Amino acid sequence: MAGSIIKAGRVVLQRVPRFRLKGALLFGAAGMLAFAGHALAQGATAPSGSIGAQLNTISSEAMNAGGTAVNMACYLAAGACFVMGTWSGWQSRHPHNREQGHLARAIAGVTLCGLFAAAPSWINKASVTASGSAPGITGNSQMVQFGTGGQ
Amino acid sequence: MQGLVNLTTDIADGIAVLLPALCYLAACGCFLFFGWRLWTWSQPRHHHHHHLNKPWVPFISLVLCGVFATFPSFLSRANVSAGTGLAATLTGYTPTMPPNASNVVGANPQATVMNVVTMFQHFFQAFGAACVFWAIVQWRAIVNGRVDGSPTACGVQFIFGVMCINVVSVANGVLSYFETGG
Repeated sequence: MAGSIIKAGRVVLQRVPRFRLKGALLFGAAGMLAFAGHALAQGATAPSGSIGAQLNTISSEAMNAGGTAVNMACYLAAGACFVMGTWSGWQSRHPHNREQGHLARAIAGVTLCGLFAAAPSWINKASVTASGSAPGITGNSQMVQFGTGGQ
Repeated sequence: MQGLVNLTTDIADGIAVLLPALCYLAACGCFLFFGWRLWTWSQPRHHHHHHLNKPWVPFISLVLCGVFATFPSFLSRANVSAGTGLAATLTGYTPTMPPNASNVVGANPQATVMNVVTMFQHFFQAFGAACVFWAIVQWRAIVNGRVDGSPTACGVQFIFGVMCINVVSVANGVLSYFETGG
């Protein structure tokens, strides 16, 4: 018998008869070619329920989830930077903390609080610096098109 | 043949809609990295590591945040540099109509090659844009010290991506070279 059999709980491999393997391969290849021939003989149409449509849904959900998570992260980071910055400023007033870098951390915390709270504005400035234009990619699912596209 | 063209065009559509999502997430990630790295620098106990010997690392991430947020504009500028000026824009998702593959054989070999290249143009363009995106991501990882790689290889991948985006112009140039014998 071709393939493997289970004997007393063990998988025992057996030699595959050559003629059966050839037959199976030929049958499989013929079946694949018949399927491919059928599939490749279709017309030039743009199906709506295709891979591209599903990936569009996936990317839309990823942008929604990612955008929400980043908003939350920036919100929490701004709050954390403010709290830790002001706490470091308070700690810096103690004489034994004067040389511990608390004052620098206080300044950085308050500054980064503003940076995280104004994240869209900073991303906008970075976009102008990098490409000379406002961010084109927003939280909505979109598609890159070259030239006039093919629609 | 038509089915293959349909399949590759649809895969190209998939890449073209995934790319803005990846750019969006990459831009957000770069910005968060920038802010978080500055915060860790301000910590007195972290002065001995976290890229203090490479102070440009967070600022490169900030600039790349802008690159990712304006990725189509960046691609358009790269195409201008490549000499084609092919505009890359963002649009809502609409399934691309695949080219008709029934007339693939042209009057001469050059025309046949151009027909084939034109039929798979959408896939080349989307794949090229993905190559450019990945080259930038890889270069950032190398700069951050997270990956041991070659920035030169990233540059080659970037150029390869731009060439794929402009595959029709490249194919025309190569064919004209063969027609004129150099």
